[in-house]
Amino acid sequence: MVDGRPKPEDASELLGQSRMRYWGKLTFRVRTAVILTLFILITALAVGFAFRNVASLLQVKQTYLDLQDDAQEFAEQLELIAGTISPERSQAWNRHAATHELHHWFLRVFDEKKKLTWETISVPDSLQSLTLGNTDIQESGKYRFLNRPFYRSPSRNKGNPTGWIQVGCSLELVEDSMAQLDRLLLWVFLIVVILGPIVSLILSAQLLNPLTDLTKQAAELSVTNRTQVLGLRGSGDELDSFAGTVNSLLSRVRSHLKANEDWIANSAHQLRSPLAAITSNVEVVLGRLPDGKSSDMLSSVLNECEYLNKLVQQLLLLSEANAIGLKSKCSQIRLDTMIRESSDFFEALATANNISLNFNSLEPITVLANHEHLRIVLHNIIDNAIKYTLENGSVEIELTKTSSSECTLRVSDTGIGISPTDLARVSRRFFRSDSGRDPATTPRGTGLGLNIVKTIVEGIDGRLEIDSSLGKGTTVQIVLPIVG
Amino acid sequence: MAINILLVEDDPSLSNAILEGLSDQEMKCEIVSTVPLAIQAIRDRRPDAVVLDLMLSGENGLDVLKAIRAQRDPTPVLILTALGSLENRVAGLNEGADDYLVKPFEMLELIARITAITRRNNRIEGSTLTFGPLLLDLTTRRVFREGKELKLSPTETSLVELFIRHENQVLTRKMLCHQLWETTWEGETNVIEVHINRLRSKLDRGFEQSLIHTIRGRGYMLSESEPKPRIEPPEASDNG
Repeated sequence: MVDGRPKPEDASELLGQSRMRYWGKLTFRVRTAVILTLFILITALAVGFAFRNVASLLQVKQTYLDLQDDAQEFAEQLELIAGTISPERSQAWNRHAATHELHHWFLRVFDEKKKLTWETISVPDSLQSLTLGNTDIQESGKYRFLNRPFYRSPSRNKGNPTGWIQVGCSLELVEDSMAQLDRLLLWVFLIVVILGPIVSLILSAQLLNPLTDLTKQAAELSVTNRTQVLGLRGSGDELDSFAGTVNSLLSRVRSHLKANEDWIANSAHQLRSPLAAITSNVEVVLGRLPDGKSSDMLSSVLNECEYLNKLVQQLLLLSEANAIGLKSKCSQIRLDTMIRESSDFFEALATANNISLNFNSLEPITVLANHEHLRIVLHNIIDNAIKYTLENGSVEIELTKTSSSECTLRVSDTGIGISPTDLARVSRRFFRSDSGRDPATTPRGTGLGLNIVKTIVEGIDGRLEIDSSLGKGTTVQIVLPIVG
Repeated sequence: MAINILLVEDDPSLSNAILEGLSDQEMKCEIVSTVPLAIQAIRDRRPDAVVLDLMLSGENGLDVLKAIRAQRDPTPVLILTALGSLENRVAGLNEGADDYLVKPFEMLELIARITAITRRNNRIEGSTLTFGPLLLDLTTRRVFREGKELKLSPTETSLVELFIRHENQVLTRKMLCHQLWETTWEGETNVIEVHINRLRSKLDRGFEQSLIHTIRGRGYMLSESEPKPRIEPPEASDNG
């Protein structure tokens, strides 16, 4: 039997994947900020560490140099006095040690057999038992000291040394200053830890600002508005070239859409002539036939022709409405008057279906639109409202000025409503809801109605909003810019 | 006297259908398919009306219209066009066409419009329109049947006017829509049917004779008798 289960993946791989998933969810800005912060922290740590070490090294080295100078000086003095230390000199040297008490400076003198002959009183207790080592540099605990031979002049540096001196001091002061430096560095690091992410966020925002602007602009782009493009900043940088690429893509999409619309219009025109010939021929023959099976069949051919014609008509209307987005062929129209005219058209229908058609308020409003197209918009939405409203229901029509520049036409019905899944699709081309009035008594629809409404409304800078709840009714809102 | 129509059309299938359709209405029809032939035919035979297709192969039908109008020839011209956009329609009317019809059209509408443009020339309009028992006062917009005033809405009065002007002719839903509400849009509901039914019930209330008749699958007709729009079939049987 084959084991169908997938192999358990490597744990570390899974962990990596989950990390990737989490990392991938962060915004680009945050990711940039995190990387920048890490970079700043690591740099700060490295610089701090290097600085501290160099400072420490330099101080220790300086200590040795000082000791070397001292050793040289005292060796020369010892050579002059041939190793014999008078009480005055002893006093003077102890004074010298006292002035360097802070460094715990001390001096010891050994004879040729490396036996201690004299020492400053400042020699610390812990070093009392320390003997002279064989090396130049010696250390014990926090003390460092130099051992140096001295010779009886003038046989300097030759033969056996007359004796030895040991000069030493404590590194306590160096350590103290290093501890101070550490504290300072810690503060600096803390400040970097706090400011780092903030600076990184600001920097990454600065970096990504043009991109954010571009995204905002792109979000407001409409494919159908031919004048809209992304603005170039003229810097010729990567973002400009990106905007340029988007613009050229946009223009290609638009010309493709235009070609598509043109194609629809052309094919619709091409369809009309043969359709006219078919319809006319069928009509003439039908006129000569007595009622019967043949005439019924021809009638259905005629009905199909009518449907085809309607489809052709509406496709042409769609492409015309798209073209009218260019604002030619529009005139100032009193919307309220036109709604009243439409009411005359539909009142009889509403009454016949026992639906009350009410005009709540019709404010005097003028809009800029194509007369024929606006009428089609009104007829479509009122017709739909009545069509999907059951007997004893009502359709309310309201036209109000919603702002200084906009008006809202609201047609709400108490009809069967639209399901949420259908709602998203109603204004698409060729969408037909299954639920409507008895199809036997109503003319066959093309499924283009709302798409035409949407196209016309958007062509004159308006918006179509549909709100519906199943079983309760639908509200169609058309927001249009007002003239004057 | 039979009406003489000149049809300028280069699609043989369509022109033949129109020829047959017009002859069923006892109109005589001559077909030409080019601009020069059309201009010559109008000059020589003086038809009562010209039905002009704008898209002739390689030629623009508008040239015919321009040529005859240039000679101050008032012959009514009805334009047939496959170009339905507003500007195309306006262009035709600006050149002096009397009416236009967008392809595909209903034969009944073509006939109604031909009748209308040929009559427009001859008839002097009075202040009343009458049809049998119906009377419409055009100035007061009041409608009477056998002297009794009917209470009609403005829309219904316009419907009556349209029907009387096209008496004994079938008016299709499309035509009514276009004439009364200035829209090519018929909608997906039976709006027109509802309007007609309402008008019919008002016209016929208290009278035995129905005046507006439904012609199944075609439209409506104002007629005093039960309409017989269909001519007796040339072949006897429907079963073959």
